[in-house]
Amino acid sequence: MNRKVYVYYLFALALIIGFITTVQLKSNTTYQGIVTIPKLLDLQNEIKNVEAENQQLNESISEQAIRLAEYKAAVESTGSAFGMMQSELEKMRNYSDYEKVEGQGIIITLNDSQKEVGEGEDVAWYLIHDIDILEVVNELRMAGAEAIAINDERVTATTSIRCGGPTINIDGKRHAVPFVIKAIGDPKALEASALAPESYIELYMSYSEIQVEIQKVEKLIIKGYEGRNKMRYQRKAEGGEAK
Amino acid sequence: MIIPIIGLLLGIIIGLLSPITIPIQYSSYMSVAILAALDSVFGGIRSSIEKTFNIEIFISGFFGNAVLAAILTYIGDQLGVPIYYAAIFAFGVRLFQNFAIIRRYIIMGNKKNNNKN
Repeated sequence: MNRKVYVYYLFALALIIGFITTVQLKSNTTYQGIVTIPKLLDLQNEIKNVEAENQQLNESISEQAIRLAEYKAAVESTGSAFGMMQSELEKMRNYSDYEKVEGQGIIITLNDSQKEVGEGEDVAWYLIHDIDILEVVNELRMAGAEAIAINDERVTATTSIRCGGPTINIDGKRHAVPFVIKAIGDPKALEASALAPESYIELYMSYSEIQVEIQKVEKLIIKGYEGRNKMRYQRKAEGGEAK
Repeated sequence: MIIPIIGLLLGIIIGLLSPITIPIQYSSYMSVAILAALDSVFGGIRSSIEKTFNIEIFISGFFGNAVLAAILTYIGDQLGVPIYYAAIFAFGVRLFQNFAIIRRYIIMGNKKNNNKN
């Protein structure tokens, strides 16, 4: 056998072995272990979550990009972003009931019943209570009321309506009859919800003949919330899910 | 004997200097192929001691085993069955067997030499 030739073969093979072994070691791959089906599903879930998160982040990026473009346009046209920020603040205040607003809506005037109190009957049956106001407000909200005021007291997300003996305390301020509830929204929808056969007004108040007057208004002005800021304890949460 | 070692060192140097890395999904193919190549090397050493070394058998075994192992790994991946364990097992067993035989030849050869002296 010609020894010379196969020495070169061996040289080539040794070269190949050395090369691929070094490349394999260099790529620094960690052993993943056996991929079982539960593990696979776990990983799939993880990927799905990350993808969903990605999508959300992408959406927020495009939202921010739109806002940035708005700011840029404002800066270009007026020289500063101040007007833009002011209108944003206004929007926020509108949304959080701090601003005086106007629009079409309805006025519901509630007054105590003038029916004579019969024998064995309680006078309280014919008076307006805190719960009546609460129910009416709730029904208005359900019908899509965007701003509500009771006797010019703006009803906010944190407003309390509570019995105060002969009066009703709204956010701690005393109010007496008649109660004028103003609500901005679609007048037809608001009126319909107030007069609907199963509504609170129809079901309970008509029984005790409490005086209810509903009036559609083309232009209603509702004052903003004038009390102190109630956001003293809540802070923006630092991401993540509640535990 | 010196020429294959030079080749090995040269291969390692080329591997270190080249920018090639193996993607993680192909690393199992590569490791099985390396194992097959190592098995061929041990088989070659054994046959050279037995004086039955044949370069054609050696080279065909070297590449054939590596390719077959890689193909088995691929099929296993497609079927969801880790068939490459079979390749690892077979080559591993043969590697140790060949090594054991080589060990014996070397030790027995030394003893014979000692007896002659």
